[in-house]
Amino acid sequence: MRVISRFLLAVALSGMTVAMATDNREFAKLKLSSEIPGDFFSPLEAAARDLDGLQHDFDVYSWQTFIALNWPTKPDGEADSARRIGEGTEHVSTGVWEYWRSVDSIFLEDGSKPAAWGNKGPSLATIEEPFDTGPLIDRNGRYAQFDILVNRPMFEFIVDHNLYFSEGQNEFKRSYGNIVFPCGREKVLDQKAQVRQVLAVGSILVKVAWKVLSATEIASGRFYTRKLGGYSAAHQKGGATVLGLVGMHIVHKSEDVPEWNWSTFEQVDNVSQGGSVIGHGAANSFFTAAREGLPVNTPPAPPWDGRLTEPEGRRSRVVRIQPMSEEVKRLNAEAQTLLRLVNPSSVWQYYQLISTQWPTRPARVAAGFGSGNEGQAAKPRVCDVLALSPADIPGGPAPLFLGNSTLESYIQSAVPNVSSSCMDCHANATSESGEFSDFTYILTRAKPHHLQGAR
Amino acid sequence: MTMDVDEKNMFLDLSQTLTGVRINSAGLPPPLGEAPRAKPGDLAPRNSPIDLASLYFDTVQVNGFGSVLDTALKEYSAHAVQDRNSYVRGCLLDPKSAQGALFRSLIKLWYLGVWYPPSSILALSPDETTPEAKPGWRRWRSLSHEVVSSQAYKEGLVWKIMQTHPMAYSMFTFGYWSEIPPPLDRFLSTL
Repeated sequence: MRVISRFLLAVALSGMTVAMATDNREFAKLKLSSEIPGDFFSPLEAAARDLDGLQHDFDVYSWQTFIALNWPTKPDGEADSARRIGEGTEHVSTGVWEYWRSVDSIFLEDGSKPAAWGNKGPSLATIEEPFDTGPLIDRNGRYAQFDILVNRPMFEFIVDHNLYFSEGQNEFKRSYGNIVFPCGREKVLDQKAQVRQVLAVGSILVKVAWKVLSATEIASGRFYTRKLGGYSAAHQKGGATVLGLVGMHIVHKSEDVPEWNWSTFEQVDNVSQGGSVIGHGAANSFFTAAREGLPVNTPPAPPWDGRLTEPEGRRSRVVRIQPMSEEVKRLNAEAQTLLRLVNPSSVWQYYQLISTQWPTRPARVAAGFGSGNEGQAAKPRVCDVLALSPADIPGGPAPLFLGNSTLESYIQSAVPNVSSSCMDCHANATSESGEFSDFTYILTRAKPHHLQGAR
Repeated sequence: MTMDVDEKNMFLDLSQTLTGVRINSAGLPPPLGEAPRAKPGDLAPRNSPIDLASLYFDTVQVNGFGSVLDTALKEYSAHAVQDRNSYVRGCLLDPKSAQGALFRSLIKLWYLGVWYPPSSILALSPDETTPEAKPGWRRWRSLSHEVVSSQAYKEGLVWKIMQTHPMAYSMFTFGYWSEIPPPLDRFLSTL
């Protein structure tokens, strides 16, 4: 593993950036910006790119997206560029992604057309982790809650193409061909100076995990918080409940990366960083030291009831199997330093990138479209992975495995097609009609509309 | 047991000769101004997190055939480039050649991700090295062999050559079985 020899910390109030330099190599620079990147960017020419350098640049892309998505908003849900992430004394603000649409507000029980963008509706958080692998119960005995939301380009693609109900999905292939969600794109104005112009924000999906905070945890100021009011009353156990953000996947599609960019973030207290129970203690949110003989990374036996406070023997004992790389730890430290410069009490300093999964054999390169950064006019075909690279849909994910301790708690390991690997798994995703659904499983939530009569 | 760069390059060159699959499709001229292409079947695609060459080199070492491989690499590299194919063919056709036996193991390693020890093969006469050959087939079945790793199994060249995928892992989409497979050159680059 190449060692990054030093970091250059360059801070300016008008554009705080951290640059990373070693051996005369250029790397993507991290900055605090409300602008969602349109695409992956690397200042390296294609021939000079190597695995570690690309991983770093993808990790920077992840952080840029995370920062922009959690940027304070104006009342209409757009990022307020006059403010900065985490500024002020309050730990509660509303990030950009919280204005997005929960999948439960898109795929309605009667298959009817969802309300237009801007009518968010209540989110119905579930207590089961994605793919129904079981619930996650914190050290206080409370169930974690999960939600999936999509941004406007993705939402409008679903609505405009009748993908929100089963029959519409059945018709899609005949009407439109492959399912290809919109790609982001940007134009590189000065590669060396890393000046880019976002031309379009592509489809973005987030999966989030929340935990119910105790009074001590609320007072700690270490969690991005949300009142339970927006969530289902079925999970509420009397009185006001405050949720803290503990996990966040960000999946982002762009012309350079039509296989989507797979980022995962966690609150730093979730689990310890080792691959064993050694070092875990009371400070970890999802590891209880009680009942030491119980297995780790195993969901509690049913029945599950999100309204309950579970006894110690049923609380999760989650450990991270795939350790974070030293390089991503260094990048996290850089990002957290930047966030503290805005506000020494910023909650965002308590979040970390676990890693980013990306394609080492991107479809557009396999098909001869080049390595991107051209900033040309939109070319829909470059977003169609099935058409570009039918023999290699996942595109050679790096790293090979990636999991979030709150979202893939029970499927962490290193067995191909079994253990958590975002791209290998989502390459199997289909619509209700069995067509490749462009790496997202959310389309299988669609219900038939005919159950409610003819349209 | 780590290879230096020259050793790895020569091991890959030998592997390319043995398998008929290119080390990297970057060896093919990419379209003007484009990045080198990489395909899942290449022996060492650029920027891949899976380093099968090092894994297979180590497999030979830990199974006690490092000296045979060392000799083979020296002999192979001593030949002019245009003569290396003949050298490999000569070893493979010589039933008493230790290098030839190791080469057969390496071919199986790259194609199947499975290590078959050459010593066991050497112990048999040539007509007993296939399961169909009797009466030696029982001995053949008893030879110890192992899948080197889950990644080695998944990346076996045999799947790409057959334009298909290993059991329990697929790089295709759901429903691929009702479609004509993509052409061979989408899977790998052959010599």
